[in-house]
Amino acid sequence: MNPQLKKGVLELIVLESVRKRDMYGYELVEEVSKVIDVNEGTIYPLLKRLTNEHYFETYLRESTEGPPRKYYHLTAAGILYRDSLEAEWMQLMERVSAFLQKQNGGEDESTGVY
Amino acid sequence: MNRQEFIDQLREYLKVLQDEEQEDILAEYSQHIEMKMKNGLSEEEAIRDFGQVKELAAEILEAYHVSEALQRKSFLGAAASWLGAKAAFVGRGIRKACRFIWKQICRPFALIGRKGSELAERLREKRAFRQTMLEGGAVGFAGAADRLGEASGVGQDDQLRIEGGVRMGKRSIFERTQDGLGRLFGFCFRLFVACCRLAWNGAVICGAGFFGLMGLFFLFCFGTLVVLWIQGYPLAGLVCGCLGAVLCCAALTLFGGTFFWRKKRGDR
Repeated sequence: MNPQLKKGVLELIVLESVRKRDMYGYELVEEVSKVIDVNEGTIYPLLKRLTNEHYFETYLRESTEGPPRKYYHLTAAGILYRDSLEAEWMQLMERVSAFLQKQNGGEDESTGVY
Repeated sequence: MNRQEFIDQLREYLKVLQDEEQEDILAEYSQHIEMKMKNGLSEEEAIRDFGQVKELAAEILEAYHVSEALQRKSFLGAAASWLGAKAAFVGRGIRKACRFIWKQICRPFALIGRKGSELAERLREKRAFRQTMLEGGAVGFAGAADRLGEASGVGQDDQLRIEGGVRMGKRSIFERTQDGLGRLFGFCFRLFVACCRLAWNGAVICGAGFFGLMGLFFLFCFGTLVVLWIQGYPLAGLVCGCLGAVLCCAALTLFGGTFFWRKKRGDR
């Protein structure tokens, strides 16, 4: 898949993953990897950025194994941002698919004429 | 490449970041590798999944700087336009409220002023009326005195004339003092107004000057901070704050300027 395309929707997928329950980094990376094939290393910077922009809050929680884990929690601003991203995504998808359909339809017609 | 090597290499690339941030992100990667290993991958494989360390570092740095700056810029733009709209709305409301309050304050004064001018008009009319009556009376009086003089000799006539003259003199003195008092009062009032204006304008200049100096100070701070910011210090917030302070001070100075009490051209 085109890496540029992936990059665009990665944010939305990350935000959506955390919406239902708080997750720690690795858990989140696995969740995202289920949806799109992405370099796992690139998700951490994204998490960092979203945290810096106050879309995420983080807190540490002890785990039964290993060091305490950093959990990500979606803030109110994050929810709003997610919603706006979703709306944008839907709009983009609709427009692009409509455009593709129209183009394909036009091609069929033109092939029919000639 | 084992985990320690990977972390060290990555740390090299992330040197520009603050120590705290470095540790933060490196801890995440370290933990990630650990979890991968726990799930059955070898250390090598887990690290290989990250791809080239250099590319990964570039990605991290991009997330920290470039895209963040872009995001913030667009957010700032949106916030600024929103604030502008709100400020305009609030400003209109305040202006309306001020006009209303000002009208309410002015109303009693305007009423007093109207009543005063009406009173003055009436007084002037009365005085003019009295003047004409007086003149008419004096003419009549003079005529009567002449007739009396003709009838009963010079002595009485002289006496009467003197009496009339004294009476006329008295009246003129009274009127002159009244006039002088009025003029004195007017002068005093004008002096008082001038003093008031001087004091008021002094206060306004002091206030506006103070804010003007503050503005210059903040402008200086702003310039310094911008230079430091460009050099890479994390001073974006302070720069924005300083810019805000500069604008605020400038606005307050101009606002103070609108309170300047100018002498009206037609006053004199």
